[in-house]
Amino acid sequence: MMDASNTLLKRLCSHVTGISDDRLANHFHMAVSLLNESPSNVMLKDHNVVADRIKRRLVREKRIDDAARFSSLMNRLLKSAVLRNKTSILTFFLSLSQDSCGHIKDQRIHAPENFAYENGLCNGHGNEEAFPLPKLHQHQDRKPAPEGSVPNTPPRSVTPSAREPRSPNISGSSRVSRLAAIYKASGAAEPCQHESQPVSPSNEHLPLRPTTPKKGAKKEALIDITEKSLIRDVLFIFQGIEGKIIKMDSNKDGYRLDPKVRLSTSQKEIILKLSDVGWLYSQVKDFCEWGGSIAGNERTADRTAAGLVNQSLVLALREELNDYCRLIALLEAQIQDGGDTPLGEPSGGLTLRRLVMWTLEPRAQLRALAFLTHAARKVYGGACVSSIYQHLRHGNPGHRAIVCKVLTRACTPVYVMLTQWLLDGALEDPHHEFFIASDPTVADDRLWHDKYSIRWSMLPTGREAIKAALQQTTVESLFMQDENCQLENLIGLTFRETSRHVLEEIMTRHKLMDHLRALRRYLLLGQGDFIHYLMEILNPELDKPATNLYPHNLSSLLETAVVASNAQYEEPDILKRLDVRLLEISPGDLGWDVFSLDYHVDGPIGTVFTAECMRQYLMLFNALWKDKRMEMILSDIWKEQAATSKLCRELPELGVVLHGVQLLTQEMVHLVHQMEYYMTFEVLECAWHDLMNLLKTAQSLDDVIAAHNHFLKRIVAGALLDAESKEVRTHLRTFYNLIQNLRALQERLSHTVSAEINARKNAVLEIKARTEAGDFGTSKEQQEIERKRRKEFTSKVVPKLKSDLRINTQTYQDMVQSFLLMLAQHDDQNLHLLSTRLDFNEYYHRRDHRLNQRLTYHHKRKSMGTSFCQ
Amino acid sequence: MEYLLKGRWKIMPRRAQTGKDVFFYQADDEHYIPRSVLLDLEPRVIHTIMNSPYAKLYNPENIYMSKQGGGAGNNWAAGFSQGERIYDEVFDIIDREADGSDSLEGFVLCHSIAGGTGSGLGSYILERLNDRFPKKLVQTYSVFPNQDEISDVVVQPYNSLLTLKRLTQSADCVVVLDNTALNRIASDRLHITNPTFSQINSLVSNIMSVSTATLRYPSYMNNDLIGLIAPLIPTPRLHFLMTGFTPLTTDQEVASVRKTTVLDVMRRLLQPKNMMVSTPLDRNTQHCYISILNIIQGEVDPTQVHKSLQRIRERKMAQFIPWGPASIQVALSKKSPYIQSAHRVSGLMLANHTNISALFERTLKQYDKLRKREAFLEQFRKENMFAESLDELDQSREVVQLLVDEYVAATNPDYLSWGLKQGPMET
Repeated sequence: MMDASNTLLKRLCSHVTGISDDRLANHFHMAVSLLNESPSNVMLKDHNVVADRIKRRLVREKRIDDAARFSSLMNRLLKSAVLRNKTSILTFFLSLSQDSCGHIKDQRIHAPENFAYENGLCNGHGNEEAFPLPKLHQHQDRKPAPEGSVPNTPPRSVTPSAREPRSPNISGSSRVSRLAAIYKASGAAEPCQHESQPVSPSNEHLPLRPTTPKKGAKKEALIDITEKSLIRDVLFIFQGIEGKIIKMDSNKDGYRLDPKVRLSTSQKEIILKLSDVGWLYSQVKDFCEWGGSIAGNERTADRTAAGLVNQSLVLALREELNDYCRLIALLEAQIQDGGDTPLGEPSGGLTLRRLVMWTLEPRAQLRALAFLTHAARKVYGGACVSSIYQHLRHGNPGHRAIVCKVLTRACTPVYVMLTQWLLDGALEDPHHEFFIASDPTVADDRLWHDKYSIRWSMLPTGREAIKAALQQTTVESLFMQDENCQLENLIGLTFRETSRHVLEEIMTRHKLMDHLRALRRYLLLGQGDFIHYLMEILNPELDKPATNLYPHNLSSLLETAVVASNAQYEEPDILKRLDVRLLEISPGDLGWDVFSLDYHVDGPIGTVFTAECMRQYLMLFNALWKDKRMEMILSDIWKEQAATSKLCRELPELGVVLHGVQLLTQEMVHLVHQMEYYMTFEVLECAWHDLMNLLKTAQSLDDVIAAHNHFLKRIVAGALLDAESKEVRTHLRTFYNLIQNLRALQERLSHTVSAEINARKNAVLEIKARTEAGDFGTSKEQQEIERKRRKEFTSKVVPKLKSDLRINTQTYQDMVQSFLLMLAQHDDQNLHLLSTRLDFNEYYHRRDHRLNQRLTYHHKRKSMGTSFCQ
Repeated sequence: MEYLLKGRWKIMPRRAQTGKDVFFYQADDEHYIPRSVLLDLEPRVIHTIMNSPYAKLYNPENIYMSKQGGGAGNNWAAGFSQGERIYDEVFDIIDREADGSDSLEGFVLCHSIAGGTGSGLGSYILERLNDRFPKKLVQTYSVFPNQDEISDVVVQPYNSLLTLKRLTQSADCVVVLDNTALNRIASDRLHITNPTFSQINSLVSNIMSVSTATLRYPSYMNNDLIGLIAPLIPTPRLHFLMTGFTPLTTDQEVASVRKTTVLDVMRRLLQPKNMMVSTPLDRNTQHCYISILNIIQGEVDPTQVHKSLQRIRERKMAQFIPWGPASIQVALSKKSPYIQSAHRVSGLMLANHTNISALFERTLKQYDKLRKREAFLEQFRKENMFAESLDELDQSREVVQLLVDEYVAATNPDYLSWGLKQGPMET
């Protein structure tokens, strides 16, 4: 234990003196003796005793005059209200007069350096890693930091208490007396005269931080100055102005003392401390002047260019500085009041030490502000706020308090912007500081999705993450505002309010529901009479090659269809949006392949009906329109057959073919209709039902968009238009070809029937005419011709039709079988419903055992999964 | 029909617009006029109409009453031959209406098959429509006579048979309204002891109204006549449709027990007691549905349709043909906002069922009985058609018999090759 303290003490000594360990013995012993001095044996309880001793000593030395003077001085001392430890002071003086031993003299050399070191020590420990502390003091050997570069030397923080010079009036008289000896030895004749104390040689290296007086300064004639003028100078420094003695060192970004002025070490030390305040002040003031522009070369720019946040930060800083200036003014007033006494302290006036005391608090504040200015130097807007916000985590409560104060002010513009944004939807951000960016180039229809974006760098980090989906944007922002608990509520409330408002707006003023219904009616073919009529009158046009189509022709036909159907009672706004559109033409396309209805969605509803949505709608229209077209072709075939079969009563040879064609038609009709029913009930109705439910409960526009997108996705999947069903869809396309084939076959059949019947009728008519003319009704050749013709009909025409029919039927049935197999193997449960529909009476099951097994398996699994309950 | 008609039909508020143009046209003064033509050979019925509140509804130019006013005397042949005489006048009217239609799809004929005018004149007009408009559809609502009561029309079997031939050959779709079933329903289900004409007629008009509902309230599907009947009628001769209706009850409690679901409606429609055609059970043949269309009106959940279908399929509640794909089609339709009905949900079934042949067989049997005795043929022989021979009767019997055979054949899987067997037989 003892050893450890000894080693420590040794190290301390070596540190203080800068002498290597082996030559340290003297100093060490002195330090030990100093420390071991028992306070009790020299402690004098009463100042009278000490005064008595002094008097006796003066008398002993035959200095009667001095003794008399001492008595009067003693009286004054006793009356003094300022000094308190009078006993100690007297003891100190006594010791000074008594001790003049040689060994103490060694120490006087090192004592001032001790001070210097102490300061250095303090600076060293002030390195705080938690914050990127600014380099408040430039080192001597450094030029002012180049623009933009952050000084990487560890900044020094000065704790005021640590820098407090050791006061001479420490209790413990022995130590006091030793110290007094040190002072005495350093040449101070009278303790009260220490301000005019000459600079000792060793003091030459004492830096008046942060600068060092030039070497050789001591050689010039030193000027004595009064403490008052010194204080005046310090007050100038406080305001960032050069004084007479303390000059600005522009090279080193600090202050230095006029080397010609003679000052005591402690004075220098105090001035150094005080000049720190001035330096901090000028830092902050500098920031205020220049607004902490981003780049150094912009420092000349107007500070308002840095943005509103910085402006208000500057404002906040200014206010703090005003307080500080008020203090300075007070101090100045004090200095005016006090008399100018070169020797004693001006009673009631200012001393340097008092100044230190006075400026303790402002200094801490200025430090904090200087930190903030440094933090805000290179950032602006929300980032600036974030950067300041970090300082709220500072451990020092005083620091925290001031940061909080400044931050609150600095946040004001952000807060104003935010409330304006939330409540009015206005984004007034001339300096691009706000965390939501608006892109004026975005077109109206993409407004919801693209207009506003988050500037992540501007996004203030916060105590609490507050989700705010804001008006007109899907931005979810994090926002911090320390004092603003209401802000959370405000954002929440505003969010609900604006969401409700936007929803109401889109539902009522922009008639979202009407548009949805219109899309369902027109693009999803819900308005059956209109679609039917449109298809009917478009039929001749669309049978042409796609390149021969003229959009204006089609548009006028569209109008005709509107007028002729119940679509005419639709809202004019909706009808205006309805249009014809031709898709991309590939070679060989017919009009049917490229025709599409279109529905213009501009303005606010375009937010819900995006281009992608409309693409899907058009795709759905295309598929549904195609289904409808197939239905129409089949209807035509059916009608044709009805007519043909009436004719065919006279042509029993064709009965088989006709029957076959009818049954094949029937199968196709069944498939097309069941596909349509499936689309109606399993897909459209179900999806629509869900959509309506979701829209009823929708809280915000985002909910609406999501619901609508989901609706579309479901229909697209149900209509076999999604990626997973591509194969099935392709397969279905071949089915359309088969229908076309059937139509061709039916046309041929009709033609054959009418031709044959006409031929026979003509033959009969001919016979009749001849008979009436008195001839034989028929001749042998004619009979032969007629017989041959009939034979050819039965042996060639009919079998050809029969074989064609067989091919058609076979192809079709194969196609249906594989289609059903595909559906059965498809992952989508919904498509199993389709296969249930298509094979409701299990006709195809009975024909194909593969189908049977698979469907049974799926069927079982399905019925286990979804038990039907009422 | 189902519209609330007071005097002339006024334009409706915009939102309630329906597909009225299907059966109506707009007159100069924005009133809507039905495209209907009223024909009769005697003035009694039409006079009743003209004295009713609906008198102003019809276009007076479309009302034709025979000058003689004697009617057809319940004689098919008389009705038919009178048709020949009034052909020009009648078809003037029909042509005018046809020309006035933007896109004429077909004709709907309402008549009875047992009397003289409806059967005879009806048959005549049916044939002529076929000649004049070979590509247009002809649908009929044909009232079949009540078998339960002894009719005062003794030649009813002759009339029915002769009309049936035309219905088979010249109509594209026949909705059979069986007076037997209608009367039974009125007395048994609706508890009306002596059902009047107007009570039965209200049932009929109900059926007609619902069966055309999808045309008048167009949606994605079934918005034209052909789209409605093409899936129901697989081959041109099998075009006789039965109807079923629910709820057929006056008991309000039954309806209010619970919310009617799609499945409820569909299940009830499959019950024979709700069918509007009385067909005796034929134990020799496995009769089956060729096709079914259920039109459901009122507030039902459309998302329940496929589940109901699955349930019916699992339970095998309906027997379908073995020779081709078939299924229950379901159409949900709006209800007219202008009529009050006791039931929130109602359903109509249009079904093509092979058992309809029993109705024709019954007609054949009755005809055969009369024919064997050569009874009541004098009235027929008075007309040109039957003056020389009664071949027309024999031919008609042949056609109807063939129809019955085809219906029976349709219960077997080998209906596919039905034409094959039929072919050589005819030649």
